[in-house]
Amino acid sequence: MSHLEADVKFTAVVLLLAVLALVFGGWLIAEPPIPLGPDVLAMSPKVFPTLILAGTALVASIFLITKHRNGTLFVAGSAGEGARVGGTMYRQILFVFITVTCALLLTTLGFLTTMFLLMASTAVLVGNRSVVQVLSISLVVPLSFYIIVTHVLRTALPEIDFIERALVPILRLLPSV
Amino acid sequence: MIESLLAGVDVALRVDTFIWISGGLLLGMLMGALPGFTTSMGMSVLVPISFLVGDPLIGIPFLIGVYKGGIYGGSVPAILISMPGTGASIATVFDGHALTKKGKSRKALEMSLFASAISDFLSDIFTLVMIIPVAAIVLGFGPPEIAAVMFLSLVIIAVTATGPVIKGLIMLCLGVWVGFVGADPFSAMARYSFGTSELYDGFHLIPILIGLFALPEIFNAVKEGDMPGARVASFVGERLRLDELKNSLRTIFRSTLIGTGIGVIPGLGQPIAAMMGYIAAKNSSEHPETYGEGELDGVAGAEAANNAVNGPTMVPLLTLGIPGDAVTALLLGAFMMQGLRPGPTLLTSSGDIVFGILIAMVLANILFVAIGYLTIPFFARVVTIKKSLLIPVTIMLAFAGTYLARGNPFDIVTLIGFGLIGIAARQAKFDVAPMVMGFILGRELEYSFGQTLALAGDNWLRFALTERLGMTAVVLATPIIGVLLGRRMSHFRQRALAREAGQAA
Amino acid sequence: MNRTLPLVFSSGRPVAFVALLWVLSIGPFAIETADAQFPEKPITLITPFAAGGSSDLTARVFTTYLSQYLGQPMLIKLVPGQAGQKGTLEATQAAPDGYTLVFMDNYRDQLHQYTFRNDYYDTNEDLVAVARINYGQIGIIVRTDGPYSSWDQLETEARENPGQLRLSHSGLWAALFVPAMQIMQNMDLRIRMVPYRGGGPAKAALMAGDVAFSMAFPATIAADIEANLIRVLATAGPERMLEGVPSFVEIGLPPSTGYIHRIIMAPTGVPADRLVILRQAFAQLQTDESYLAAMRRLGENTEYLDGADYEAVRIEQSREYRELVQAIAGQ
Repeated sequence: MSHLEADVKFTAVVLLLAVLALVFGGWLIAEPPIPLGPDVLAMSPKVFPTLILAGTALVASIFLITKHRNGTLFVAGSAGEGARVGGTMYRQILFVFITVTCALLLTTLGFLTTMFLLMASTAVLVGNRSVVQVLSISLVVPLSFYIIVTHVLRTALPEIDFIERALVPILRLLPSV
Repeated sequence: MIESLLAGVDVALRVDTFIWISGGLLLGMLMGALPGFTTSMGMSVLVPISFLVGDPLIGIPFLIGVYKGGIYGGSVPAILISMPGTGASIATVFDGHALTKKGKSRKALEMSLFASAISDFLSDIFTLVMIIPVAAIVLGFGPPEIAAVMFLSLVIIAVTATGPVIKGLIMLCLGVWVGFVGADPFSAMARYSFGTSELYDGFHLIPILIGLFALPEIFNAVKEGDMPGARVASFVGERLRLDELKNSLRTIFRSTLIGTGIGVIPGLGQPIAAMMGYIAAKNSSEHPETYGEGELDGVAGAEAANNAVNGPTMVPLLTLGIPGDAVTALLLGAFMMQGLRPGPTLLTSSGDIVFGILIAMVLANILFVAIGYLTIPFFARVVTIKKSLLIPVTIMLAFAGTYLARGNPFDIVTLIGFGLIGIAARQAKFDVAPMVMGFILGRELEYSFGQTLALAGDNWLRFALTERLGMTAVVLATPIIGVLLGRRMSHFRQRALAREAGQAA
Repeated sequence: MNRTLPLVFSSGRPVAFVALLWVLSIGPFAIETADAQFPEKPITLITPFAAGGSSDLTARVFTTYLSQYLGQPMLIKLVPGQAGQKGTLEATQAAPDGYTLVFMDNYRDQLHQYTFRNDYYDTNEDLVAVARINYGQIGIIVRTDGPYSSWDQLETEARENPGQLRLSHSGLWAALFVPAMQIMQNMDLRIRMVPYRGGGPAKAALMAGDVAFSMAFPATIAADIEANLIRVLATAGPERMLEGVPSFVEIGLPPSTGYIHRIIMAPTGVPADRLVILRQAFAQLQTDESYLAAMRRLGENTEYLDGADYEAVRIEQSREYRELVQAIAGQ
């Protein structure tokens, strides 16, 4: 059974978004509260986006129409071809799920914990089978990074209070930069 | 003038100056190699140090060394792990990372170093010699000219992207649109922000860069997965051969010209220079279709161009007291802390110091090569680490680097979001480069365009024809250039496809 | 299971173990409070201005000399964009611990609440004044080699060619824009306003000849005046600042036109003792000879006002700007 080619799906999404943004432009883009004439305000906030969105819709449509004319909208073969290869699809979905979760929980769990989870799961997903390696890399690398960044570069990383305070004595031992 | 020049030479050639510049270069390289830690962040940490040094002739070249080192340093993660450290290294990813996968990472890094140093050296000499005429040229570039050049650049980028032109245009438009999210540049009205303050701020470049370029690579590794011993490349490869460097000299010189030209025009910057340098190298070659699959020349073209921007960028700062970007703004601060006042009077009142600094800049490039060469073996070895260890570290760097850039947790969400877009784009065979460049240039283009409208007023036709002939010429030439380039690229692409089909048969 | 944690969980030990844990976790607390002497680390000054303008330059000068009175460096973090709202938003969202301050001007503080619809912060509620470092009086500038040698000439030309004369400014409702609007309002002139990213680029546009005139503060143009590249046609305030150059009042503008107050603010909620330390540092700065000399070189004054006193000025301005905006909107 045939399914839509990947680039057709992508472009269709883009076209849809562009059309929606054009139609709902009034709601999505605010207007200046005080009326200012063209002498004073160089360009209204709507002008350029409308131009570009129209252009996007145009180009996307041309692409889809050309594909349709060439008869290459659909390709043979099943959509889930990737999934045939063992647990690949499962791994991909799991990876996406883990990264999204870690992204959302970075500030709640703190840098070290989140990076530990992220690195450990990625290491396993990429094929590492050694518990020692996975654990050590997921602990040592974020910790060293954290110390270098906060102490040497004097930049902040999100971290929960408890761990931050626990690290204070260690940081004081290091030579100050 | 000449006395100032000679006095400058005298002052620049001191041992402590060299030591400090070397330190700056090394620090800059290391900071540039850390994704997300932008050069301007590093410089703001170091500006107080430069002040403590006391002598402007040491403090300021130190910072400039950091700046140069940083621009080169960004190419290291771009080449090794497909993660551009800054916007300047985008074009380096294309061939740089491909070379790494072929086991030629050391060559790529060395080419990047030599190309950067040679072009920086040449453009610094140009700046030194031509500082007065260049100042006049800088003033000649107003918003209309800048808008025209940006428009031309965007068209060139879309047309020369990998794949059919129309796909490049779609990604370009998408990138420009992404740039619209946030406050509009004239009246600060919210656009596409859905009432949230994070979106009102707009998207930041670093998470988009890392998301579009690095995450798909990581995702691929997960997809292929389950091969415990896999490595990105099993060896760093041999060093760069002299004849390989010589082959790329023409490209390096061409990119130096491009980079210097773009550096003179205020507001354009390294990302555009790098892309233009890369595209020019690709276009001038006899086999453009191999670019993107591991051409050393591609790395040379990109890196030479982005380093050549450094020198001329200083001109508006030194002669008019107007900094062109965040980095020159920091330098302005450093100058002022030292009691110098950049502007029309700087050359007359402290000419010897200015020339001393410029000469130190020129000489810094020699140190640049030495230091870079010593650090390369260390960096190159990174790719020989097992993928199952390297990939987790890469993803940590992706997250950490993104957070480092702005300290805003929303950036991490942006990172993942654009990572997904990058993965989808790769599946659909869309090149992400036009999208990133669209994002970078789109906002600038809108602002310059608006300014042009304000300048033109009602009678824009008269404005275009009498006052701004340069702009009009460029705008009219753009479609012609676009079509010509598009045809050429298409021709070579057909040739490559035919060759592939022939090989498969 | 006995084998995993034998020592700890056999009889008598758990208490010791728990006590040890307590001591270990309290320890870091103890270390921190004993040493707390604000400021312990560098202070960030968010500067929501474009690089190279008078505000940026002023900030670079005073942060250099302030360090010795604070005991820690004050680092400038340039956050331009959105007419200053980006940097201001960042400051209001920062932790109110005294380590993040923001550099503002009176327009952003009191005018923008009427001109920008802002759901994210309210300067009156979210920011408290630490100090006013100085005020500036703007001047109308033209190129020395241009056709205008007096304000009257410029005014006449503007009146005869409405909408033709171009002026470069630093952004909607910013320090260069507002006086220009007031000129248009009060003198009934039509000028074409061309936006630029800040005072520096606005000046560059004038030098390039893209616009006929502009406005600037002394810091931005001191060197250019010295090099005789720029001529000042009028200055803000009731009295003349330069020889032969009329004041704004003389040419028919309200006396408060064209003043910028440069203020350092902190997010509301900073502990009172830390606020006092900050304010004191600024007060002490005023006695520093090298600071005063540097500001003089810059061409700017050092009319300092303590934050507590400035709060009264804020209220006054709020009223003034509300009236101004109503006048403009009423057109």
